[in-house]
Amino acid sequence: MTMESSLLEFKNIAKEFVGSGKQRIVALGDVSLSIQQGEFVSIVGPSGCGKTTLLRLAAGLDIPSSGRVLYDGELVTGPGPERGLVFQAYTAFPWLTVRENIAFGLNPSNPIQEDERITRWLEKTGLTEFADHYPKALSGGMRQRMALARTMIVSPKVVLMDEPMGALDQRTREKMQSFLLQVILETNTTAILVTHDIREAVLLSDRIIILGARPGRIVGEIKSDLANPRNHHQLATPEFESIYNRVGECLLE
Amino acid sequence: MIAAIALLSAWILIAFLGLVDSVFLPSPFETLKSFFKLLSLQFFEEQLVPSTIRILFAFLLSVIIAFPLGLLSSQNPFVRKMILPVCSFARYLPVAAFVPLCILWFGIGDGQKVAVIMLGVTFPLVLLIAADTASTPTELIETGRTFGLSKAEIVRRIVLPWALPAIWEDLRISAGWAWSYLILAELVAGNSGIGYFVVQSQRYLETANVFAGILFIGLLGLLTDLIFRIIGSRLFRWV
Repeated sequence: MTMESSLLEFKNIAKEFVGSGKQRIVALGDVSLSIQQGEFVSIVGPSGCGKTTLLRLAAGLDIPSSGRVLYDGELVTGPGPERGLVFQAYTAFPWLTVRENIAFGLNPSNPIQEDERITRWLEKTGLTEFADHYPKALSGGMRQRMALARTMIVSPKVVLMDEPMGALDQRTREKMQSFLLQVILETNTTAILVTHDIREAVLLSDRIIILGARPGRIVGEIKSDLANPRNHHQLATPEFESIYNRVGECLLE
Repeated sequence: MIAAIALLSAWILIAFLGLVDSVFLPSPFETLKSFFKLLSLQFFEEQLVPSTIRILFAFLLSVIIAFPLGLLSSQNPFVRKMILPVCSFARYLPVAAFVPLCILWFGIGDGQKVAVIMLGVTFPLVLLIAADTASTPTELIETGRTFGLSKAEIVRRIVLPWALPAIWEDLRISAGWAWSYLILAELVAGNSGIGYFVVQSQRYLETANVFAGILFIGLLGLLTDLIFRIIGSRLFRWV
């Protein structure tokens, strides 16, 4: 691993919050992590281990109490369009149509070219026939595809996902996983996925970071070297099971 | 509905049996007759038009003042600390108690009515608009931030569109208050308006007209409400 290929870097990150009783809560202890260009990294761990905090620091929505977050070698001081974010909740803008939601982050300087892009993403997400509907007409899975399209349409270098499939039922979830894999592969985007589903982490990512709680810290790191491209049939393979078990053991320690 | 029918039946019965002198309680028939007499050009010109102009003007001014103050309070901690305590206190001051003061300051003309309505509507409206705009979900604001939107762009593209349906609903409710305060102001002092008509009718013991006037005020309130609802459902189809 060379230095220049690392796209996102956490250097001795600590993050503290002031709790309700004025006591200090240490969300992250001393975390160092380096993510390479084009990598798909999942972060798993028990609740309260600071997985979401880590993601928010990468997005620039929070600033670390100590340590530094570097994006492409530069200090992260706030959010930016090169680091896209997909939330757990279906963040639809209810007053915008599906098309307008997807186009939200685009700069309307080149309308014709962007119209084509919007149309392409509507097709990709299977939302073409809902283009002029409001999000209230969409199911959970459709909304999350729309949210992903809204994030991806501006071509971020990194996409940060906070349990984007956490609230979906099993079948919708599998479809969404396939869709996500396809989108990430096509666009060659670096991805960080926070999830509590180990199967999802093993299936989707190249590397799994396991966090421990109180204070949040990295307790393990496991490569998922399943053959690419990934698909749901791999869930039944011995390779999958072996990685799955190793992640599970690491979480239990 | 059943309660309304029961009340009306009791009213008809009392009037029919002549249990109460019609000076105190006119029959429903008399009231209705007076009501339809009100639907004349003269009444519209002399009472309805002045009342409507007052309420429109005062309500619009209240909204123009309350909207930016409420929005700023929700967005800026400094403004919030300056404005919200004042409004929270002011909304507990009974508007009725300010009517004499308004007469002293503005006379018995339109100025006094506008002042009374504005005193009653503006302060709570600031609080409501502040709450509506502050209710924008954090995820939506943060989604905006990750697209690199500035604070002003976030207010324009996220906070306002999010809050508008709730603000509209609050305007509908406060328009109801505005009617009450208008009538209050007109009852106490003035020489035109629906409230003035009611108090004049009482002075001449034309009780049926008092009843008709009250009915008219109620219907006006209902009409205002309906207009707000219809426009709201057209404007905010996504809700």
